[in-house]
Amino acid sequence: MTDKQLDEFFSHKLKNYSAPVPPDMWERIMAERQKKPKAFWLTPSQKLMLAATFFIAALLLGFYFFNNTSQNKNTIEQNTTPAYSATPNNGNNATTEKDNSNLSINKTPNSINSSNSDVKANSNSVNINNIEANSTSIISSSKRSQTYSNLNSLSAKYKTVNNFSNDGDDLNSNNFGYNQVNAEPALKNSLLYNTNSIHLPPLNLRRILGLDACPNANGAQRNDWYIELYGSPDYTFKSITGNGASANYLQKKDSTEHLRGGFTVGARFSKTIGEHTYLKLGIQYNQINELFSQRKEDQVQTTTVIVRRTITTPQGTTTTVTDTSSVTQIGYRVIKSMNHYKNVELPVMLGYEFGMPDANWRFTINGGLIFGLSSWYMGETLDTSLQVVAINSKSNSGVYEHSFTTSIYGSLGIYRRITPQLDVFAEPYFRYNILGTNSLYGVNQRFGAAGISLGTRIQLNGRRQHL
Amino acid sequence: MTELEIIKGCIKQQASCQRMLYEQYAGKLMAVCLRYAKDPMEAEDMLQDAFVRIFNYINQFKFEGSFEGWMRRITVNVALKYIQKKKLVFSEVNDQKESSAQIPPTAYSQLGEEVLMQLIQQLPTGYRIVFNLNVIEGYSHEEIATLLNIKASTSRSQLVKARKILQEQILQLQKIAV
Repeated sequence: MTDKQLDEFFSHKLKNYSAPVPPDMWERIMAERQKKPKAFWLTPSQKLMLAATFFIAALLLGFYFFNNTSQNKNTIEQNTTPAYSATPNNGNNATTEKDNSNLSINKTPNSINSSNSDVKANSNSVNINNIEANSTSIISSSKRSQTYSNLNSLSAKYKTVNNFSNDGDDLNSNNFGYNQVNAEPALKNSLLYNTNSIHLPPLNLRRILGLDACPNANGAQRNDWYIELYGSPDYTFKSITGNGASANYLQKKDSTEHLRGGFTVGARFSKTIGEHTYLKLGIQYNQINELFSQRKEDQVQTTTVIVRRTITTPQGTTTTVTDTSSVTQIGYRVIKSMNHYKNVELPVMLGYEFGMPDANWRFTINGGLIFGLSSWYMGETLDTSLQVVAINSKSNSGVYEHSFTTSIYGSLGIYRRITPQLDVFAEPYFRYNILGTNSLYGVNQRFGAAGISLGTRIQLNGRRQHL
Repeated sequence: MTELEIIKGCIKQQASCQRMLYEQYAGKLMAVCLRYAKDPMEAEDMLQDAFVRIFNYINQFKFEGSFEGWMRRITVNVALKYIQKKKLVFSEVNDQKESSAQIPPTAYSQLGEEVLMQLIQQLPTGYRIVFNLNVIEGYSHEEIATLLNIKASTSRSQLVKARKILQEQILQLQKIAV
């Protein structure tokens, strides 16, 4: 028996051979399918709901920050330094205090000194609402006649309160200035300066984020909202690592797939948190294009050639002769198609702005993460047997397992002011997948991109910029 | 119900269509698994995984070519993954020793499918895989080299040795039968 005969014998006999299957196999398959982990894989509707939740949460957060910051302009700033409470020398303990740290003196202002006339002028205008609005527990005197509250306004928006009691005649407001408290030993003794009352300030997220920052020379703290609209042509690249796939397969895959750039369009909200810092949150669409080309060797193409000739005989009759021949060409064929990797993403980043105050040119350094919300892959690739397979997928059942791909992002933004409310910007950036996408064929694929976002920034509210 | 309707039903994840597909092809795919597995238990695991993948990825089928061929390819891929997990080594073996097949005397007169399956299953793993891929599945040596991450020449030599063992076994069986 020759090799060929042996091969044909086995092939013929076994090609359609059917073996008995265990009776419980169907139940096992169904059980296995139900057991497949669903973690991180979301249906499109779930992804949409998640995106909507993110968006609503961002709006609510923004609304909360905006409202609180606006209200806070009319309230007394909470002090995080050790608090001092003052009681009058004459022992008339008209000021009732619940907590040693109840009365706040802000260290920052230098001009807390108040004159008698100021005090008298303000003596009947105790602004209890302002005090109560403070997050600390300031309790004012119940006896208005014996208690004077001096609400010494440092600025329109920042106030320092000195509560004291007196008999109304020997009021020396200097004794109640913060500087004097440190300078006058006698008064120092009369102060209920309790070192035990020096507590660490409560965690104040607003202060940490810079929302309660003190005003600078330009005025009040920034509370600006912007919307940024942008688009970017992307130079893309990818790295492929084997996750069970053979080196030959990786090489073949790499040689058949060639990235052809991409683009990103999106919108993001930008909120100042402090004088120079921004929190940016948005939504963007990103598409990566890839040329899939496979060269197939030993392709045979047969062309049939039909030649018709008309022959006129000497007798004058005309005969049509048809010659049929075929031409066989052996060569290679290149199959080409375009793959598209489409993603909807949620960029979250922090930015730091610098540049000359009120200058026309501003610069920001941004960094953050881009979270994948949804993705659609379309096109073709090779499977492990080097056959062309479609990668069309909108769910987790495609060649590539869909997951919350996450990218790191860094950029430098250059802003040019056009009007007080409108900037244009160019933002060179770089991004790279820190979580790749796993393929059905044991490949982990990570994309990266470098590009330049071009867009506009529109100021929605807050302190207007000046040209 | 035609095959096309069954496939479309499976794409829609209809359980009745999945069951029909299973009934129609489970036996053939089980035979594929048995040819690659070292024992029936492993073949059952392969078949289970293969059907899970077929049902999960049936929307990838492009309706070009044979659907059975597509399923067989998935099954072969699953089988190869199982084998690769065990660090398949393509080593040379003592042909004489490996050719001592234990075939029941009743099978001598007729080389039925079951006997051929037994002959293949008794081949060393490397020989068996290459023989299956090349002779039964129709893969070229270059494709096998890519699949198994070996040289094409290794694939060829493994096939030659597999054939030699099988021929000797069949010859021996015929002698005994006579």
